[in-house]
Amino acid sequence: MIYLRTSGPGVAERGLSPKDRPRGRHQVPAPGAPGRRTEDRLLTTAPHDEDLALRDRVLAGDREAATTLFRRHVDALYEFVHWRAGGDRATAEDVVQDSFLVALQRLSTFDGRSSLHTWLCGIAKNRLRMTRRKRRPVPMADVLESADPEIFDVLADLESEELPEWALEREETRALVGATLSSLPPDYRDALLQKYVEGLSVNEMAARAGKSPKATESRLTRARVAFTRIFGLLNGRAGGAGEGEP
Amino acid sequence: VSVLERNLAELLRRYRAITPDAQFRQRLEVRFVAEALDAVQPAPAPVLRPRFGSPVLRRAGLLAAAGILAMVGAWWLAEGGPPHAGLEELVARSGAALRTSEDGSWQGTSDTQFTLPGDYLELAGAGRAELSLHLPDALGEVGLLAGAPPRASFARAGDSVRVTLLAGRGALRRPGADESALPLGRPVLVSPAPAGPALPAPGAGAPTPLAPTAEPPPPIVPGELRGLIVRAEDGQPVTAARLILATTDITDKGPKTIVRELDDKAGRFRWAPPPGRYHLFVQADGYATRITRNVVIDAKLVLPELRLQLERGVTVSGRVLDPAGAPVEGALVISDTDAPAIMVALAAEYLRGEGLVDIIRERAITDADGRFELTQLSSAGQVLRASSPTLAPAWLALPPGPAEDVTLSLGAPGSLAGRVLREDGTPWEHALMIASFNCPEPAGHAMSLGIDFTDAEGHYHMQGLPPTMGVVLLIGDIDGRSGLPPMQATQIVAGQTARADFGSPRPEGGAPPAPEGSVLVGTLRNADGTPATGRMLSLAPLGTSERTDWTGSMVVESGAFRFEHVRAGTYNLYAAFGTTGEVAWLARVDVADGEPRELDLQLEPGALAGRALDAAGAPLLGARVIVMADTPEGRSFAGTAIADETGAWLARSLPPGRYWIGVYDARGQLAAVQLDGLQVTDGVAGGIETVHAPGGHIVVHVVGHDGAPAALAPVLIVDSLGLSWQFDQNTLTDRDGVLPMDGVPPGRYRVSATVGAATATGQVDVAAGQTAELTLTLP
Repeated sequence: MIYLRTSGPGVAERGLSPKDRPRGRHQVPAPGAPGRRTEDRLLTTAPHDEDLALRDRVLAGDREAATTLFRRHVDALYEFVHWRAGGDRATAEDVVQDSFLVALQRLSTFDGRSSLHTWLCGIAKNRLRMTRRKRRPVPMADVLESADPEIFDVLADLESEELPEWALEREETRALVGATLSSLPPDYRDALLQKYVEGLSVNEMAARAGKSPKATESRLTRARVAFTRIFGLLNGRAGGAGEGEP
Repeated sequence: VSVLERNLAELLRRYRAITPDAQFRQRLEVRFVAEALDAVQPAPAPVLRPRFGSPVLRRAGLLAAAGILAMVGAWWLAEGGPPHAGLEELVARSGAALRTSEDGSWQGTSDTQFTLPGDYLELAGAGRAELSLHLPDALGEVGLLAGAPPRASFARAGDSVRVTLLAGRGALRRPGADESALPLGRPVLVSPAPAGPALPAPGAGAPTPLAPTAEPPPPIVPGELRGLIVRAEDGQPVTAARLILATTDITDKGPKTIVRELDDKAGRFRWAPPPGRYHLFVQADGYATRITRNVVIDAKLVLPELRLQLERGVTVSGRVLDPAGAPVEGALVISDTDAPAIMVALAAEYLRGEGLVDIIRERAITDADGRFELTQLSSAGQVLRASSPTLAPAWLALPPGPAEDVTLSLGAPGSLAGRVLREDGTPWEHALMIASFNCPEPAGHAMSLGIDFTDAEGHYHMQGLPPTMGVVLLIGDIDGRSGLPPMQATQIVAGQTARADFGSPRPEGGAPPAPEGSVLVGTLRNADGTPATGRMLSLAPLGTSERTDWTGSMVVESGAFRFEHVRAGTYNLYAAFGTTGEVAWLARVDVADGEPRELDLQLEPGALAGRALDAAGAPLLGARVIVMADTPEGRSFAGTAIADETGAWLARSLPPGRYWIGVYDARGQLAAVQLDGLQVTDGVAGGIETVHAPGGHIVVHVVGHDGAPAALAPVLIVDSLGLSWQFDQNTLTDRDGVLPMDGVPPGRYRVSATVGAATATGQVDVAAGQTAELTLTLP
């Protein structure tokens, strides 16, 4: 299960190492009321039974299951790593490869408390840390350091101001969106892309996922909240004024 | 639609997903799936099996026999030495897969000097596998190509490379090979079931350009044996030599041999012998015989060119004496190290027969003074064997280099006889019987003591055997055998004929005898959970001398094992490692009559490792390590290990706990060392170094008040500090009431023996190099 809470590390922070967490004026932007609640809030209630079943099949030597596991997660993991490796392809490939192979060794320890994606991302983060020890760190801030500070101020107003075209077209903005999406659970990511890129209605999304429209709407709402928070967090980290700032 | 949603739509519409490179994705998928499958089952190595399938099947009985012999320390008699399998076979046995960068047609044996056909050799395995590869000097350094974390290690010593695979893969790379073809961290992907001969390309359209070799390789002809013979001292070609190919199969006439004389200025030979499996012996004047084991000639396969270095021979001279110290004339002295061992292993009479004698150079017949001289021996330490028709053979291990005035003392021989019946009670004619040691020889050169084929009535009779604890194997029909050979432990006594019968006679007019006892079945898995395929097990009843009363079984591919006709009682179950007599205790098993037992067992990851050295710091080859576990009930036997050429030993499959070890010189000359309080968790606890000074001997005789020998009496020995000692796994007297102890540190000891309520105690002083005898008379 993944919980979102404002009083402790939430899903947004989980995507970053402690040293990457915002400090000072770059506090978690926490847009909107939901994020300000003190009690834990369930972000996703989807049980990970399917992941567990997949784990068991892979451990039993099921070739098809191993293929499924790989194909289901490789792209998302790659993107996750890509942004955290500063866009360096060789590093990303090394880390992704190692992560999958380490995951295989430890697959029996995957207990379904998180999703497989989250679990894989955790392994990847460890591998990234090891890589950073050997190479010069290229954190997200470095990637975006050349960005025009003005963009970040604009992007900080994601919920209240329509983004101007020039800000939308900036490469830094795209990087921020990619990094944000890569930090989301895959079902949130899919929900956002289906809704805003493919243009599906909630009913169509529900039909595709085999869920009720109500559950789909709920998932979409949560995905938006998560996106906004992470986007704000990364934006703040990258140099913009988070919405949590006065 | 809120502002947020409009912004989201705009942002996401411009978003372009970052995806991995298609080839990277594809390669990683292949590897991921392959490793996922590797992790749960041994790779079937389908490419390799057909190549060895037939011989392996035919030889399964002998393989099994060798494994069982290993259980009690006997050596690989069928081969006259350790099983030198080809690399591919080694790899196949370990459940690994192997590919090369060129055409995948790697072939060779562990004694072959391998060449890399391409730029690299990749090994991939599901479980731990250790391989020793000979690589020619020209190859220089080998590199490791493996992704992090590396799960293969390579240790180079001279021209051999020791590869340890840890459930993964690694690769040997030719120096100068284009690294960009195989960038670190992205090893070549190997499917567990490679379908074609070529490797998947490591990059876009790769296999990248291979590094040019110094000279173009000669045209390769399948089924051809090619090689280059050079002098070790300067690498110059040897222009005249004799090449002998000896078949590896046992027949009643010994192996078949093909002899060729080499006459080539460049020292090269090309030869197309009939397909088969051979040992290759190369002999040249002034040089020691060079043996290359298990050369497989297959009409469809290409064997890499052999590069054979011949070393200058050394001379060993000495005498052969009888038990009274008188010289023995006409005794045969041979080098077990250099002579074609398989031939020697069969029986000395073949050496005196026609055909074979010519090809065994390393032999001598003693003169009237019992003197002999052997020349052209290899310098790396010799094991000599002397035999005479009326006396028991004797062996002598020598240090490396030449030697003079060595003495081989022949003892009084014993005999072994018996009758072999088939399951239906009829005589088994022409069944192959082999008698062997049941304890490891110092240099690992123990071999068969005798061999015989049964006559029409199923009788066999072996004479001239040395008094020892031995084991008799019923190999049976040589061809077509695939089961586990029955065997019996036996005590050969000087001047007597020991008896070992197999099978029960059919009652007059009745049905075949009904089998007795229960069935014990089970599974054995390695520490990593994979089936412990090929592992040999031995089941020994409790409360008897386990040296003479045990049965064996082998773990099959699924991990299952089976003991049949097990009589009711309590047994110890052991697993054997390798062929040097290393065992680990597995379980204590109660068997009731007619009630099948089932066990599910797993080897432990814990181990103890160390080195045994003499006072000068030289490794103690063959030193025996006995490991006892400290339990609330006292010490219990946990396993044994044998030191290798470097003195290193490894006692495996030890559950977490506290252990005691005793380290013993195999020759019994140096004092034993005991260590207590060794902790084992779930890995290898290493760094245990023992240094052994000269020791003495104690022979304890235990007799009853009537003077009769007390057999199987436990003997306790305690030093002046109150520490108890044991000098063997066995602490019981034999059937003659005798317990000899070697390697006793000099000092004063209190020795006691107990039978029932009766205990006898005595004291003995031991000096280095001396034997102290003590008789304990029970009240």
